[in-house]
Amino acid sequence: MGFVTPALLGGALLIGVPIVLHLVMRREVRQYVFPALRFVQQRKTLNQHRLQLRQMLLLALRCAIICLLAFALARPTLRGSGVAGQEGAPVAAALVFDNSLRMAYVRDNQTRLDRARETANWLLEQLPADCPVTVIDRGTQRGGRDLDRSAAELRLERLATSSVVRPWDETLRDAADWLREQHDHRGEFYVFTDLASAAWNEHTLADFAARLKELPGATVYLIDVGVEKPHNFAIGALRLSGEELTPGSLLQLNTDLVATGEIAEHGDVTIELYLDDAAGGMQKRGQQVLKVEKEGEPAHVEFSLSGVEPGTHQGYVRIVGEDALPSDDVRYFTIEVRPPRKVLIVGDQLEDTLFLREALAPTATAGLLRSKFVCDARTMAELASVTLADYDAVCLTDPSPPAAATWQSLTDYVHSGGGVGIFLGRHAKRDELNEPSPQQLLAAKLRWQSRDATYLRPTAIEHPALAGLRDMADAVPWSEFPVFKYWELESPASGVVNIASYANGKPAILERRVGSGRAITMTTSVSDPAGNDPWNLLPSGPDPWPFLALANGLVEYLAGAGDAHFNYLAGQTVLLHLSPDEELSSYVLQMPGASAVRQSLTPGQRELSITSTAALGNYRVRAGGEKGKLDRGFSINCPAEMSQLARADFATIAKSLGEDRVRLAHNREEIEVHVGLGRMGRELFPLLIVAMALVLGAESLLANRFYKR
Amino acid sequence: MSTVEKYLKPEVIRQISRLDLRAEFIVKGFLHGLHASPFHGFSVEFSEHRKYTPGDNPHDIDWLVYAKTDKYYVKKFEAETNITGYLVMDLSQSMAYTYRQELTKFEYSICLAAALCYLMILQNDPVGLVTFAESINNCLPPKSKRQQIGNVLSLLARLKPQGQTDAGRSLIQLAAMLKHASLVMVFSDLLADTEPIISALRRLRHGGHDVILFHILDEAEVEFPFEGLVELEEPESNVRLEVDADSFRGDYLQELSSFRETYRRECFQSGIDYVPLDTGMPFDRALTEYLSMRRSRG
Repeated sequence: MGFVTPALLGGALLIGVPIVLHLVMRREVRQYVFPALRFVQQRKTLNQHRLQLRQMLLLALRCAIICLLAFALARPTLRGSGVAGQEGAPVAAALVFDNSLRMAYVRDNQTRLDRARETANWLLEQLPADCPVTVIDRGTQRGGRDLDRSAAELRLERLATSSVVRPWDETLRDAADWLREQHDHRGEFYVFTDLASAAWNEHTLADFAARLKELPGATVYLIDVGVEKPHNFAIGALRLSGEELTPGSLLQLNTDLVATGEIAEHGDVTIELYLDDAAGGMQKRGQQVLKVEKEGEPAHVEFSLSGVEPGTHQGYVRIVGEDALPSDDVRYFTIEVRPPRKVLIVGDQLEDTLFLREALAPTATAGLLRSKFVCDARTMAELASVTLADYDAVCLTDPSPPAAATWQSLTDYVHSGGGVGIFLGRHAKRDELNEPSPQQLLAAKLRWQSRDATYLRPTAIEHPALAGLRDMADAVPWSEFPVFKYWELESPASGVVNIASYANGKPAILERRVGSGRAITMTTSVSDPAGNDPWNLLPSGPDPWPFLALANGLVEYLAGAGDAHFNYLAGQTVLLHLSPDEELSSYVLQMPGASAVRQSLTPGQRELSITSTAALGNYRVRAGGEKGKLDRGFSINCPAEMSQLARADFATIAKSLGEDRVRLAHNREEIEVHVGLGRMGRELFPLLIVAMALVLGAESLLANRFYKR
Repeated sequence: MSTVEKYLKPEVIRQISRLDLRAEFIVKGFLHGLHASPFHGFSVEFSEHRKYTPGDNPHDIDWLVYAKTDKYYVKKFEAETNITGYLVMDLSQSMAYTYRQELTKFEYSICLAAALCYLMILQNDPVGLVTFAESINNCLPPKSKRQQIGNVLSLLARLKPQGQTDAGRSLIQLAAMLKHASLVMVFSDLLADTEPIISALRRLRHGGHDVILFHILDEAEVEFPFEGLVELEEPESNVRLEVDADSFRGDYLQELSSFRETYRRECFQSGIDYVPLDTGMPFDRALTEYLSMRRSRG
């Protein structure tokens, strides 16, 4: 409760007047001689009490009249913001906008943001001239700033939907922080929102409620510019079979079509796949017609692409036609088709390289499928003569320790960005491998050969090297591939990452970063055939598919293929790794919409970091002119959350934030009513005057009855 | 109402200043009315004989007269002329009270006493007068001569109520004074402690006296006509009390009723006639009471 003119409450002190009159100026009573007083005396006490009660009742009524009058003149208001000692304080208004892509929803030829802007402009005119105002949106600019009227109008004019938005709770927090800085002002939040449940989640509500507690006088006006029953088709996130392909391999694109709102009777939706061609234009490579059966139930979409030429390729999947929310009708993608990565596999004997070689590039399917790797098998004796730089990765399968010079060349190779995998086995010699040269690459010093039978049991499958196993982590029957022997290591050096362990907890696969490359040590062999006292049955057990997945994952990681990401969400930082032969001083970033930006590189910079990824679409990074020295690309899509148009229940919001603190308005009239109620509260003046009249009547009645003349 | 009967009304009697006239008017008015009343036949005509009426003792029929006239006559009044009456007046200050500024309780009592005196002398009954306050002040011995009316009335006219009263003590004193069985008529507002008065009345009764207790209150004391907040003062003790009259009226009337009921009950048990009166009531009630008593003594 608040008061419009609280000073008049002081008038209540006038109740002292009837009290003083009661105490000092007792009413003059008529006197009579009455001989039969003895009958009166016998009932005196009871009557005196009754008399006192009546007098007190009259006094109370008279005091109540004065109090009610003072109270009524102070104009009390119910549920107004004029509380906590800020009665009559000027208003400070924080205009908070949800300018996420959802607000681009079009209804009546107007986006939700346009409607919000229109209402906000009107609201700005209604606010008092000296009212501090700020405009806060979900853009990257943090914190609220004091704006004068024209600056606020300019901010409103420039307000646009953005694919890169901060969390909604952070935006609200900024508004709350700004209002808290407005001392001696009553805070008012004007939150322009589509009331999407994705934004008004539990976390946001809890956080905002906590902020509101710090602003006791503030009121929240939720201005709902959303659509009660939205209708939209959206393409979900694209799931590519791979972002880096080898020539001739198949690309599979999977996604979902999600419908929101009532599905039209003939709701056939056509989805098209486009991919760029050699001329740089877009060519339709696929089309599907889907019928969405039920709201919210995704319809699966799958496209396959083959015969893509080497190089960077970009395309998109789109819904034909237009709906109310266009931003989620298109999904962009970028893939890179490049020659298979070259892997050097070295063993004491060429036979030792067999299992790994077959796992990476099976000879059985050589004519049918293009492998991701081209394997070159050599003996340890030949290693010294090989140019390591020609390979993307080098794997040593159960090697006898090579000479120190060889270790050094391997170390140099890793330093310059290469990957070396060392699979220890029966030929490993502890003392030699514990020498400084090998220890530059090995994860730790060797302790002894352990004969504890165990099996591999990777737990930290988040590591990129195990990405291939991630989807089926629980289904891999590792225990069917026992490990009989392995090298137990001393405590690994700092910076060494344990990729996988055995079931007994001992480390099995460890990674060590050396320079800009990486070295992986596996503590058991991958070259032992089953019949000859094998160290394990990983490659030689029945149906050894886990080994295939593990070997491919490890070597892909060593060769740097796992680093290749070309598809990002808006706002994410894009990292593009440069190959050693790509020596650049600058590049041109071609953004969607044909705008291009030239960027410089520092000497020796091995990766491009691109942060301006707000625009949805396909980006191209080029350098070196027509000769095509660098031609890469990436795609930016909007988060799936931006398609979730389901609305939050206002009752839930009000319950979380406090029902007396938050008001919902849909149009100007409702805003006027609610803001009036919010600031002034519900005026109690008429009720109080009626109450006072009743009390006055009761007082007159009782006084006449008590003091009849 | 006939011209004579109006004199039974206190407001009419008030306008007559002479006490003897007042008494005469009251008695004449009363007797005039009595002829038409159910008491018709209870003769006060002072003849030797009167017609027999059912209810009279058949032994009283004068057969000689019957033989002469062939009508029943009874002869009774010779014995009845010997009732000695005492008019006992309360002289307390409270008796001087009147709310409407008309007849005070004392004046009312005097009128009544004078009328009774007049009536008794008419019947040749000896009548005396006793006045008391804290004790007996005056005592006029009973006589049946006609000039006794003048004596009684002149004494009554001189009386002035003042000071406090002790009715109980005075009545006990009176009981000790009376030698023969008499009719004692007490006029008082009885505004004192109940117990001593009742005790004294019993003592009188035990002394073989017939007692009629005329309990005379002011109209205001019976009706409590006050309204609003009032301060009441007791004239004898000067005690003051502030009360809300409206709310108190019920309690007061209840208390008064209880007070009168106490006297009625106690008097009934002791064979005393209790006659509650107020200054607004006609005088015939009191006279009728006297005559009833006289008749029962006959």
